[in-house]
Amino acid sequence: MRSQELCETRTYDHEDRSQTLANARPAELRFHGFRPMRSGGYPLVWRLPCMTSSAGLHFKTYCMILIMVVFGPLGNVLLGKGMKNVGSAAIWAPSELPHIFVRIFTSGYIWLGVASLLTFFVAYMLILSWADFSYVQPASSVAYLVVALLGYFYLHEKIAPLHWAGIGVICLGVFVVGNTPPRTTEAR
Amino acid sequence: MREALFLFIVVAAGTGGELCVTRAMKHVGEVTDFRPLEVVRVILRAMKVPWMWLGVSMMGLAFFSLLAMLSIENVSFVVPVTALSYAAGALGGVVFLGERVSSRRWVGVLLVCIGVTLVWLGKR
Repeated sequence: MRSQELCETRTYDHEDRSQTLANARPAELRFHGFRPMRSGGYPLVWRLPCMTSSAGLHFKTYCMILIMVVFGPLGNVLLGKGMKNVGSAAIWAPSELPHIFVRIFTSGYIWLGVASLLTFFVAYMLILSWADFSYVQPASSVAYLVVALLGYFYLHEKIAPLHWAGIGVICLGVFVVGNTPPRTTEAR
Repeated sequence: MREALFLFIVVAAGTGGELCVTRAMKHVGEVTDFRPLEVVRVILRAMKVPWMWLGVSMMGLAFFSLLAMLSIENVSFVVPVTALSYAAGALGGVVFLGERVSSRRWVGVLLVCIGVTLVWLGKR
């Protein structure tokens, strides 16, 4: 009798749970917003000793942000330099596309640019594993200024005063989109 | 005029791709184990979600449109105007994902739009 009861309870439990899951599914699938990246849910392997102290965390964060604001813009500038050699898309005809793709993929600047953007992307992913998205994003607003500076000094592009003003306002806008301390979520 | 079309593709396909990938990754579930074998398993699982394929194709399209734009215009023009993605991201989040966007964020988005307009006018 007892074991039967237990069995029954278990069956009910099981059914209950599957019922709850079945009900929960559509709601779960609906995505309600960008949740801040949690800093604690990652394995110990990724937590270096220096990350446990606040100063170490800040140092690491600043290093990664530096890598991001250097390699992101550098990647775009290299892509730009590579594409200038490929020729303007303003006059591309559809029949030329295969030829253009070959020229894109055989350009050293394009591959350097892609490698640089990948470096940026890895730094971005790493930093998001301990810092909030809303902290990283405003810091990366500087990248728009760095791109303009690289274009001006390295590619000798002409930038009108209005253009500079626009870049400044964009940086400010991206900065305003979110600005919080490096860690607002509790470490688990 | 072509650069406006390419800009639209960069912003729309780029943001759309990110939204699709986000949706796919929510389906896969939160990643908490970063051992190489587990990461491979997560990637394989993600590849079974159609949203992922749609998202990656859109991101690819956005990348090649960016290249096309870079072949026409200076990099100091192209990269700042693609900041319009912030506006598209906020709109997409509200319309497609039912997100709540704070007023502070809208102010930022508005500033980005003003900045892009200035950059566009400064080019003329």
